[in-house]
Amino acid sequence: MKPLLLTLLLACGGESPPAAAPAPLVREPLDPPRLLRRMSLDLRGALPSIDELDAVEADPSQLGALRDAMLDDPRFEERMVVLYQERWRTQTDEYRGMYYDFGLEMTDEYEFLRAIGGEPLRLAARVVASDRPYSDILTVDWTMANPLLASLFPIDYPDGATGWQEARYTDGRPAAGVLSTNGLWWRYVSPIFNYNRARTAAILDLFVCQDILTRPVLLDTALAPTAAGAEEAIRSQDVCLSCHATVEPISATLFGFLPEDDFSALEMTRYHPERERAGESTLGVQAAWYGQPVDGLAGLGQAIARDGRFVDCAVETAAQGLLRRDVAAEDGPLLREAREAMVQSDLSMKAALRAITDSPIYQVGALSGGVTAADAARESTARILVATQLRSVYADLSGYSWRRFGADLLDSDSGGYRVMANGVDGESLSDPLQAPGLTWALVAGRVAQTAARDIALHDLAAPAGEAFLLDQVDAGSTPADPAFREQIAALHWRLLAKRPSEATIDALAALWNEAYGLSNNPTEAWATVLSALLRDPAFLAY
Amino acid sequence: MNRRPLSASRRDLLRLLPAGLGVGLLGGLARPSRAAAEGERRFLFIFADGGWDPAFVFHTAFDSPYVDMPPDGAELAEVGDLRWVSGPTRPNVDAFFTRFGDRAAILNGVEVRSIAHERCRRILLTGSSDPDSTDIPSQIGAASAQRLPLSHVVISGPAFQNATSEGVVRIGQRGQLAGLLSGSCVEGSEPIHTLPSPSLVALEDAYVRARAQSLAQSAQAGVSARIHQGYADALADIEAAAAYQDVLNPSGSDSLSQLLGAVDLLEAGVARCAIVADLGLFNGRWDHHSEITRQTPSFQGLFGNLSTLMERLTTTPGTWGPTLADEITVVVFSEMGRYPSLNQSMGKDHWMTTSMLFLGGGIRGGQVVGAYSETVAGTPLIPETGELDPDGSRGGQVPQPSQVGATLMHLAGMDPAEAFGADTPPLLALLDE
Repeated sequence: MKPLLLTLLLACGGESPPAAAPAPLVREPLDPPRLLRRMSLDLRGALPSIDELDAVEADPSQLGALRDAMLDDPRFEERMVVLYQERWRTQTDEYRGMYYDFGLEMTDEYEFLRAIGGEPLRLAARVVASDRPYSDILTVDWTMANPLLASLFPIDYPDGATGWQEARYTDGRPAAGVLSTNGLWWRYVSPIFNYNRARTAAILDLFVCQDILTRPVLLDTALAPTAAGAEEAIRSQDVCLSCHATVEPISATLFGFLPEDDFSALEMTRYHPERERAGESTLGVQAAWYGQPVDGLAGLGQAIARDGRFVDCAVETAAQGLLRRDVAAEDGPLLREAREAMVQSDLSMKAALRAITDSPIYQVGALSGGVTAADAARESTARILVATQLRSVYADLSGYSWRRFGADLLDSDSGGYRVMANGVDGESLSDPLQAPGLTWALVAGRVAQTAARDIALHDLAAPAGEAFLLDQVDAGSTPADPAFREQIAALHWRLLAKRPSEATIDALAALWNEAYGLSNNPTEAWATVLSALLRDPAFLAY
Repeated sequence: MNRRPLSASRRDLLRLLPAGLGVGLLGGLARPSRAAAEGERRFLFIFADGGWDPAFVFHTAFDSPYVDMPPDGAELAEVGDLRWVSGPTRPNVDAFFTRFGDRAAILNGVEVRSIAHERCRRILLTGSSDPDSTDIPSQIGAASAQRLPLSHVVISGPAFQNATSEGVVRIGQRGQLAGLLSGSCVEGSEPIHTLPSPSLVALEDAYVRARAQSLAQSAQAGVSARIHQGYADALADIEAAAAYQDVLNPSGSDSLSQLLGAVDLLEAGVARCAIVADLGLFNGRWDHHSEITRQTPSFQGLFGNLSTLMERLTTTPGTWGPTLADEITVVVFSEMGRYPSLNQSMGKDHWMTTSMLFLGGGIRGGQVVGAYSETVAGTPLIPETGELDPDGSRGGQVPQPSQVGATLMHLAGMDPAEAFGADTPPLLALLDE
């Protein structure tokens, strides 16, 4: 994603203003039920309930309270994991240490991969969900672990606990939040003789939104290409120092994570306190953050957390996650309000999320007034559900998941569909795609078809009160029954957050009739109607 | 990037499809005639993942005090103007250049300007370090005169799209696309999933297509309209792609199978660009910070595959050219070079200058364009002629990935200045024109 600063600079470039002021752009918000749906998908990864939809339909002023409740919903934390993955990209399908290095089976591979990459994401998500100061992500002395991760790494996992829990490493690593997690540094590796410089680039990108890798690595053509020459150049050549004067002092704080063998999983599982001080001597610099000396990795985390750009970057990250696009100069009001809200609330990310979701820029559903081509191309009047969102929506609707060999296929790449359905893989896709391409439509269709059959099979046989969606009909219901049309209307309302017209109900009833005619089976007929709704553009967009 | 709307003929074809024909049935659908436009060049990208060492093949630096050449008795080999590094442990390299050297051009001294894998891949494929850049194959694919169902197929290897770029189709690391098209994707799933019968799928498809078209037509111009139109287009593309399930399902996951599968797609005219990764020996990638000699078998394997590929291309009749080798341009590249000298582990670290290999259609073969300086930087050259201009006094430039991108766009019939500006001239010296 392009840093906002660059965007702002580009926006300041030299075109003269037009003679007559153009009509202002007007952002028309989504109607309250669809806006509730957008908020619920963004903050909980789930559709709103019928009761919630009814509430905002009856009284749109309920929207704020419902949004606030979403921030305290148990699903919110899991949604934050997904949003941070889209920016931090730690959940890849390959690390230098793999499941077989730890004696695990192939069927454990997916859980292994997601445990490793999930560690820093879950730490951040826990800080946000528990409404602690956001700076905690760089300063706390705990991490997040599940039993698998605790069996791989030197982590003191709470006795008798299950699932992801706050836990502590036992290998003497500093208190630096995500900077002290193996998960971050397994993703952002540094070969031995790179001396953590690649990791420093990641720190600058992820926590202060400075992407130094966009700056060219230029070669002094007069300099002999020897290893010693390169290290000397980093310390003495102006063209190198412009970056390395910043990079080297940060890299010096990370030597406790520098392995002596690039491919030793055992080396990578442990922090090495005895190597900490080698950073300054090896790189010939004092550990520092932009010229401010720091005391090791813990000091680095504290220094970053005090840097004003840290809050700016946190707000940008959140805004990009919810707008599903890069932020632009036109988003300045949203960013300023979110930043102010965060600063005024002891760095509460929830406060920033409230400000973002309150903004007309977030809520926009249509444009009017003086709409330029650039406005039309930029303003997120709609977003699409990518793989990880489809996964959570279906799981929430009915407990549906699609797995093979232990892997959740909507959350994996090697044999699954995460990238094929527009999700971020951490390398080639660094933003969730908002273009509904062939493979995205295919995956969305196959998931809808299989999930709809699961739901129809379950619901038509379920005792009263236990149906997921088909709670007003049974296997004997026909289109002549009043409940039949009410059921279709309820499905439409729940899945699309739109009240269907009579014509739409007629069309769906006709679809049911045709499907029943082909199959002579009410389950197949309801599955067809359900699947059509789950593939509806208004379901897949929000 | 906005895609062209469906051509009238495609729309007519789809409209004429029986309403009952759904995805599940399309395996038997007759393929449309070759979709690629007459005279339109297609492109195959082969990506050596990890950073190859040009000194094993391309950089003939036998007299350099700085470059550690392969220790296997490497020596200079020449055929006409083509020069390469020959080694007794890499006979496939010699065999390839001897047989196909007249269709091959080496570009030396390409300045990547980065030494980070992820960023180098992006720079090589997009011509830019901008995280929002879209790769050249995607742009070329989207610019096809006819809208192809699979404009750029990622069989393996990297692809870079910005949030709104369309038309790139990933086959999946294990060929998942074919399973999605055929419905076999549900096999082995946990819990057991089943798909509806083909007739029910067809019924449902027709309903969904009508809904997508309806919303696409009523949406306000902008993001909503783009999403709804994109969805309607994607549903149509699924139908078209389903006719090619056999070529979308390469028989193996090895590099050669993937390469030949890519040729199938390009030959069928269903795709304009494709990319395949070569992961080197034992799929261990080419990133040898220790024991750089492990690149020997990787080059041996790569050039063996290239010979098989060129044999296929040069012996298969083309659609508008004599053979496929005249219609398909092959670009072989890696994201970076290796440090000129060995490190303490007898490996080589990253280096910001590299070499590329171009084969086939539109390429002036039998030549080396560009050069390395004594300190293994790129040497400025005149892009139109390839003449070296070491001091830059005649306006020469060190070859940039953006210029490679401009060159490929030029070959594709696009205006590269629109993407890269007028100060990024194509390397016409590489081209047979």
